[in-house]
Order: sequence, then C-alpha cells, then structure tokens
Amino acid sequence: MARFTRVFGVPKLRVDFVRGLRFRLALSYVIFFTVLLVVIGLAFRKNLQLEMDGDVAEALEEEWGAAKGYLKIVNYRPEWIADSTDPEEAYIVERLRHVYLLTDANGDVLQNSETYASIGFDSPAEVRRIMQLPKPEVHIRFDKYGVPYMIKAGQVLDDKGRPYFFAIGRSIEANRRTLEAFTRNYFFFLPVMIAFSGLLGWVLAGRAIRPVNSVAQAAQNITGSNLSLQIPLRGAGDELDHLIESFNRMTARLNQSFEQIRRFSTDVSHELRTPLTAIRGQLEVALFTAETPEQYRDAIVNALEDVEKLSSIVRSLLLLSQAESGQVILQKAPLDLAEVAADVVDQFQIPAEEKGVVLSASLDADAVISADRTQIERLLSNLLSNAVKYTPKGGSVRVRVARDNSPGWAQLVIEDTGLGIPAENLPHIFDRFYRVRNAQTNLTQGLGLGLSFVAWIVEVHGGRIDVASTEGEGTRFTVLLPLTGQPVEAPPLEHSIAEPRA
Amino acid sequence: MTLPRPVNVKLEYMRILVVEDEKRIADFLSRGLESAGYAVDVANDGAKAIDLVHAAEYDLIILDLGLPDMDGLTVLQKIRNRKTSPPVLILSARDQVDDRVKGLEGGADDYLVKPFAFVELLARVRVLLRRGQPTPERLQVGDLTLDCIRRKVTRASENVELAPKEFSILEYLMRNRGRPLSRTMIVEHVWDMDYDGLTNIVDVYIRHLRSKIDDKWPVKMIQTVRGIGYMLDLPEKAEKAG
Repeated sequence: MARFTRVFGVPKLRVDFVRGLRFRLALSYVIFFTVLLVVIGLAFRKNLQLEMDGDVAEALEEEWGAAKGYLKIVNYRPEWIADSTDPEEAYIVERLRHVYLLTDANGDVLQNSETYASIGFDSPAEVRRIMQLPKPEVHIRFDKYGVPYMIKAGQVLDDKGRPYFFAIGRSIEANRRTLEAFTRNYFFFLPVMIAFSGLLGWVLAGRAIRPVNSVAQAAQNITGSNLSLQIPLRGAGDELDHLIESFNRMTARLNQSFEQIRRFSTDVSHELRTPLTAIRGQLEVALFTAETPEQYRDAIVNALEDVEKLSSIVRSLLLLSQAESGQVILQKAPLDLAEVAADVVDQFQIPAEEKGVVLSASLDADAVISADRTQIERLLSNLLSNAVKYTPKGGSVRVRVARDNSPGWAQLVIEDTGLGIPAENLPHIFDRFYRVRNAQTNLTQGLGLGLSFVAWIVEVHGGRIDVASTEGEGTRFTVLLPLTGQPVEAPPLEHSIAEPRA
Repeated sequence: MTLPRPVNVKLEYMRILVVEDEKRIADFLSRGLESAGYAVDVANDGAKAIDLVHAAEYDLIILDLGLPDMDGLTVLQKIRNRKTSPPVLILSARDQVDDRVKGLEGGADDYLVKPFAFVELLARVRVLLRRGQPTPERLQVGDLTLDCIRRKVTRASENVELAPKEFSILEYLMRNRGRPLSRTMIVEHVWDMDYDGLTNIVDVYIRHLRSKIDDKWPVKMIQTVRGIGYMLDLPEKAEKAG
C-alpha cells in the first residue's frame, strides 16, 4: 500500500551528534591534551630521573676520589688508612666500605662488602674490560632483593704500580621510589585532567559554534513568505559576523527577487483580467440584449479584438520570460548599426507621416557592432514606436547613429519632442507593465513591456542605456553598444533628467 | 436566454453612474444595465465622475478602482464626503483580501472582482438599490411570515423550526423578494466572508429550507433562477419575472 503524508512547515534538520562539529572539536581537544600530557609526563619523569641519578653519580665521583685516598694496597693487601680517632673520617671510610669490591687484575676477590656480594661479583672478563677503560665506568646493578645500586668501577694502582679492579656503589632506591611515586601520582591524575580538558573543549567548541547554530536555525525558519528575516550581527566583526552578513545579504537579494516575482504575478493577473472582463461582459450582454445579427456580429468582433489583445500579452510575456531566463539564443554577427537603423526608420516613415510627425535620421556608417539583428531591430522599433506614439502632431523624432566620444562604443540616440516622462517615473520605465499615465492624453495603450525588452536587449549585448526627459519638451534615449573586437570598460553615463538637450 | 427584468416598476427610473476607463467594459456595462431598465451615465475618469456626482442625483455608483487620473479609492472618498451619497459598488481587477477590505472600509457597499458574470453584477445592483428603504420587522410573502425580532417563521399559521443559517438565508431572500440572489451573494451575506468555491453549501441549505417551508404546501416560494441562484416570491409573480 502506497502512502504519502504531506508535511507542512519547514522540516527541522538535525546534525548527527557524533559527526557534529562540537563533538569533533571537543574530541580532538581531548586527544591533543592526552598526547600532550603523556609526553610532558614522560619527559618530566626522564628529566627527574637523570637529575637524581646525576646527583648520585656526582656523590660517587667524590667518594671515588676519597676512596683512592684512604685505600692503600701494599703487597696485594688492601689497607684502609683512616685516623680512627677522628669520628668524621671513620664515618666516611665506613660509608665508603658499605658497597665496594676490590679484586686483582684477574678478578680474584681481595676484599668486598656484604652488600656487594649480594649484588654479585664482576666476572673476570668484565673486570678485564673495565680495567682497560681509561676512566672509571658508572653502571646500575641490582642486589638479590632487587634494590638498585649505582656502581662506579675502575682501576686503582698499588704502591708498586700494579693495577687492581676497584668498585664502589650507592643505593639509588630512594630515587626509584620518588620516580615511582611521581609516575603513579601523575598518571592517576591524568584521567582527571583529560576529563577536565574534554569539558573545557566541549564548552569552547560550543561557544565557537553557537553563532553557526543560530545561523542554521534562522536559515531553517526562512521560507518564501518571511524572507525579510535577518540574523542579528553579534558585533564582534569576526569571521562569523562575516558569514552572518553574507547570509543576510543573500536573503535580502532573494527577498528582492521574490518581491519582483510577486509583483509581476499581480501585474500579470491584473493585465489579463481587464480584457477577460471585456470579453465576458460583451458576450453576456449581447446574449441578453442583442436582437439583430449585426449586433451579435459587433459583439463577436469586439470580443475577438480583446482575445487578440490577450494573446499578444501572453505572447510578449512568454517571450520576455524566455529572454530573461536565458532561453533565447542570440545569433551575434558583425552588424552595421546604421544600416539596421535605416531599415527600421523606413518602416516607421508612413505611421509618422500619418500622425504628422517628422521622422529624420542621421546615420554614420562607421559603427559596426557584434549583435543579433532581430533583437537590434526589435530594440529600434520599440523605441521608435514609443517616440512616434508619444509625440504630438507637428513634433519631430530624430534618430542618430555614430561612434561615441569614448573609444570602442557605438552610440544610438532616439530623440523626440513628445510629452516627456515625469522625473519620478523615470526610474521605473524599464519595469514590466509600467506605464506612465498621462491625464491630458489618456494614452494607456500598449502593454508596458516594450522598454523591458529594450533593457534586456541592451543588457545581453553588453551595452548601456540612458534616458533623459523633460515633461512637455521631449525624451532622449541614448544606447551605447560595444564596437566589434574592442571590449573596453563602460564609460560613465551622465544621468541628466532636467536637461535633455544639453 | 433573456435578462431577468426587475419586478418593481419603480426601479425602471433609477439612475446609475458607471465610472470605468476601459471603453469596452464601460460600453457593455451601460448597454446591459440600460436593457435591464436603468438610466446609465458613464464617466471615464475620476474627475468627470466627481463632476457628475455633484451635478446629478444617482441611485448607485459602479466604480472601477484603476482610473487613469486618480485612484478609485480617492474618488470614493470624495463621493462619501457629500451629505447624501448613493451606494457604491466597486469593480476591481485586484482580488487580494487587502484590497477588498480597503474598498469596503473606504465606504463602498459591495466589491466585485473582474472578471465577473454580468448577471452577478445585476443581482448585486438590485440588492444595493433596495437598500435605504425602511425594513419591516415582520416580513410576509403570501402565507409565509418571518418575525425578525422573535426569530419565528410560520407558514399558513403553522410554526416552522429553522436552524440559524437557514433563518438568515430565508430572511435575506424575503427582504429581497422578487430579486434573484446569486450563490456568492448569499454566501457573503450569511457567512460574512468569502466562501470561495464553497457556493455548493448554498444549494444544500436551500434544499433544507425547501423541505421545511415549501414541500408540504402546493405553492412553492423558493425559485431557482438559472445562471444566477435563487429568488423568493409567489409563483405568479415569479413567472412574470422569469
């Protein structure tokens, strides 16, 4: 069974927790901190050990020197010479003799302390190896209880200059205990520190991405109808404010185009309703009131005219929407603007004469542009038909084609001595369905789409259009189009409204 | 098909001002209204409309909102500033609820969106023209009576129980005795809002009403008017009107 539920409103997007930025930031924070703390801990421990062992080694060094002073070997017999009356000296010697070993060059033990026996005597090979070294060697060994000792071993000479193997040592168990305590404490507290860093990371990441979330939330609330919604800036001037600002500008632009579409659809329905009303009403009333075939005929003819008007509105709309959505493919080719203008001007000579308007042209042949001929003809005829339509009897319309003063541009000017356009209407004349209503003449013919076409044609040819008008005196349209093969920056156009004939 | 003629002979002399700039629309409006028995003047802009209102007495003004020289609402305001002013029916191509509310708040009595059916316009015109006449507390058509105060309905001295909406529809029909009312008008009047597309509901209520006040008696009062809606009257008169 197929099912479908229409959901209204904007569905809320949710971020998967584990893939969320906040979690990932906090997690990397934790990982980073763990590695850092472990490395620091290990380095510190190593450093501590080296320092403590260094202290012991230094003490051993001193004792080694002292031992060499107190130990005399005479005739293979070692003798500790110390003044037994001096308690200090006796103590030193006692200390020296706590861990020591003396052997002959073959490793046969001559004298030793008990502790050294527990550590174990050096093998003859080891004795020979050490005795060949230029300096005494320091190494660490353990007794049978596992207590670590630092041993300094080397050779000493007797009164005849014969070498003997001699070693003294010191327990470094205290050092080991200190290190162990440090390690234990440190790694016991490590999880606590990691947990704390995780918490910190979570909070920091949350603070960092809160604006992102608010942007996301605001974005979710935006629909076609509340596009004016803006996310408030935080005033920090940072990257997130930048993001919010870009976002706000985007919605503002969208809002503008939605507004245009809304206005356009209202306009279209308004434009279509008027002829529809006329068609319907005329036919209905004819049905009720007409008596002769002529009356029916009139009603049908009138209705057909309105149908034609309706079709032409629909046709123009379709064409314009195709044009503006880029569905019209331009066939650009080198085009002599003067030649096209001459053609179009010829077409308008008869309607102008009928109306009593003088139509003149000054066409400079040296303006070749790359353009679609059909569109340029449409541009010219839309502008010319407006000029002729709004110029009263006895007026004149002038068409001029020339190279513009700024290099690289062709200039087309259509100037009339017509009614002119009120200044407040000028910014809107290129809008669709915009018509300047003139009370004197009540000229509301046309669809208000002609200039929209003109604007589009100029735009797709990379040109500029400028209009200058004085009410009651006339209007001048200036179109600039780029000459072939000379892409240049558009020159600034003066927007003179008050002085059309400057 | 012929246009339903007004029943009341007095209406034939009523004057209507049509304010409309589209010539085609003004033409068919005046032709249609004239053939329905009204005297019609046409103004094709706001200024002329105001002049005409000052120069002559009209019983009704049909006002298009999109005028070349001024906004229809401005014209409405100027007309309403006079001491006595006729009812105004607005014609507009704007169908947003906002526009409708603005029009009605501006003092218009009715609002019709283009394009419209001419018979619909005519039905509304007739109802508007009847306004201003004193409305009796007791309405009577043949042996059917409706007491507006006590909200009681009797047919041939027999009490008829009606639901509130049925009562409202019957009251509206009886007040406009002999005038065809469109389904849209009934919806707008009884439900106080735009039941766009829900005009079927009117047919349902009319069926209920008929079963209560017409079915048992030989004389049927609620008439169906083809292409418009319904009308209440005694059958002899209704035949004349049809």
